[in-house]
Amino acid sequence: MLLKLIQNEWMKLFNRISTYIMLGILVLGVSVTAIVIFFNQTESSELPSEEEWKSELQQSNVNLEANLDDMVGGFDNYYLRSFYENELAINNYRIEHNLSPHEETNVWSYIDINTALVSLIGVFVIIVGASIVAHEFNKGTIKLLLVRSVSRTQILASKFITTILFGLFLLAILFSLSFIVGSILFGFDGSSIHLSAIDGEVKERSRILFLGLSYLSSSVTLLMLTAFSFMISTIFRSETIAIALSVMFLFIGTNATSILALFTDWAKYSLFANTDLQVYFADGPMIEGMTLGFSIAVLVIYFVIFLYLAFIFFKKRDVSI
Amino acid sequence: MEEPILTLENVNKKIGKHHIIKDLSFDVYPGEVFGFLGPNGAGKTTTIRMIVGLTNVTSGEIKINGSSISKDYKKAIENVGAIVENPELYPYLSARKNLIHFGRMSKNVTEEDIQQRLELVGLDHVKDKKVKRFSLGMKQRLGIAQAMIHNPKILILDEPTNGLDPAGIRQMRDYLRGVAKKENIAILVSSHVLSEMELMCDRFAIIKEGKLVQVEDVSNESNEEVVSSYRMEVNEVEKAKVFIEEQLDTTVEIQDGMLKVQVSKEGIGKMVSSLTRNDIIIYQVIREKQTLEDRFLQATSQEVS
Ligand SMILES: Nc1ncnc2c1ncn2[C@@H]1O[C@H](COP(=O)(O)OP(=O)(O)OP(=O)(O)O)[C@@H](O)[C@H]1O
Ligand SMILES: [Mg+2]
Repeated sequence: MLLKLIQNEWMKLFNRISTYIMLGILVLGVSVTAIVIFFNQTESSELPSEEEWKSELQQSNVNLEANLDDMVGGFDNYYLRSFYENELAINNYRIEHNLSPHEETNVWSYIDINTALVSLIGVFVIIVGASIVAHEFNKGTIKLLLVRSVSRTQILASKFITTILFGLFLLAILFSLSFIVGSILFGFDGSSIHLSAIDGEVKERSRILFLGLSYLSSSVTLLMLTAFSFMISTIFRSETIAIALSVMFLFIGTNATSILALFTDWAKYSLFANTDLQVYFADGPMIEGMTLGFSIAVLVIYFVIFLYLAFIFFKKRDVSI
Repeated sequence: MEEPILTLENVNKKIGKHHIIKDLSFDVYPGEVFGFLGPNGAGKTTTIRMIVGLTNVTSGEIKINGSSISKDYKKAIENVGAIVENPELYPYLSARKNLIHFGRMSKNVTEEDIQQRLELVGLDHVKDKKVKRFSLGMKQRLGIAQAMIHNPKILILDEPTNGLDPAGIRQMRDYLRGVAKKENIAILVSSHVLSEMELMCDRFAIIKEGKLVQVEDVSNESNEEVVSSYRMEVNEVEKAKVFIEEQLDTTVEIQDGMLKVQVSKEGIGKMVSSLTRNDIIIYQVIREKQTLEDRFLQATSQEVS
């Protein structure tokens, strides 16, 4: 039954003009980056020579080692430490195997650049999440939807799943479009291997797989904000409030939280202090004492609260329109 | 006696301090068109909302095909097709897609069922047109098709004739009556258009300020026992009046030169024969049909009985 309901939601979504406008804007975004990058691409003649990049990496290794030495006895951060160690390992691996970190613009680097367009998808998914429930109330169709032998929980679940599927659909479009455009315009002249290191041990991975994963991981914020806008629109039955609040959080949430972090440690419980999981593998978390496990727990708790409230309100409320 | 498909038992609804529905009870049987009348704000829509589970019942019980709407919602609502207030369909979908949408929400609705419903409500020729280009009448008909897509046992329609022109109303009436009799479906309709209800319904309930005022058959004048008002044109008015009052013990009024009496069907027969036997010539006897409207106004106005 749930499957049929999702089919219904999908049909409604793709019979609305706004959906096609979103797709159009996404295609436009890809074209804009394609044009900009095309006229600013790095040619092979501009790449540094083998000696140049090798000495560059050696210099950076010296810095990394100095950083690691500083940590002993001083500020020791597990994440920073492993980040430095892994970076060091990768640099050595490159020097050993003659793999330059520089490359001419190619399909992979183009796909990487287009990760920036994920926040555009974020806005679209928020809009869909906000309107998928509120729209039924505005148009009055909610009454016809509810007077069937389908539970309200199933109806709301189908709507949330459809929103998430739509987000994944847009990510897939962005990814494959970037791949097609990139391979036509920039070709495959680049490394198709991604180097990653865990505990100082370097692994070669397929680059396309890694890019796909980075697209997905950049959607943690997206998923949380979708749940948030979904909850707001179910409780207030207003698309406008839901879209305005969620888009505002999307753009200022992280900054507002870092300002808050200056005043109080409580900021670590803020949603936005935890959405960017990559900090644990880069420059460390916003507030001391946060761990990856902590962030994941906070995210899960927020997610469950958002959806729980949405479902409770949707089930309990009288429909009086 | 057949089992009722819909039963309301002492249903009450309170919203905040307002007691909107008070001890409402009535039954609706398969195959009948049941009118649900009441002035604005009487609580018709609120009652319908409770029947279809859009709002909770404060106290009392509503049963559809034996299942309680509050305790066994899924089983109860399976038997219901409904339009609450306006036929709100998806304006950006075509008529056919709207029906596919609602068809998917019930078990066993096939492509043929959808086609058949479209033909029955006369929308086959515009099935691929978007609903936003539909006239109100077309939307009402699509609303009915939507409500009947899963072959419910009872149709609940809140003001289905709202906004229709006379031809549209007539079409709707014929369609609903046909459906009720052919498919043995019970239909509960609320409406303000009383003359319309009179032609459409078999029985009706009148509510006022949330209270049931009366439930009766539309055609109860044909009943032998029921007293109606008759007017009679005779050659000698005064003589006839004295005769009737003395011999038949019935009060007579004289209005515009005609006699006016309140008697049963049987009574009027006797009266006519005894008058003729006593050489009073009767030119015509008119039964003053009490319209539904009269009864409605009588039932809903204060202390007129
Ligand atoms: N959510 C609500 N809160 C408070 N009072 C309400 C609410 N909904 C309806 N009412 C009141 O309940 C009464 C019945 O309203 P209802 O809509 O059921 O009447 P109705 O018979 O359908 O009227 P109409 O013929 O105008 O459609 C009205 O007096 C209305 O003010
Ligand atoms: Mg009403």
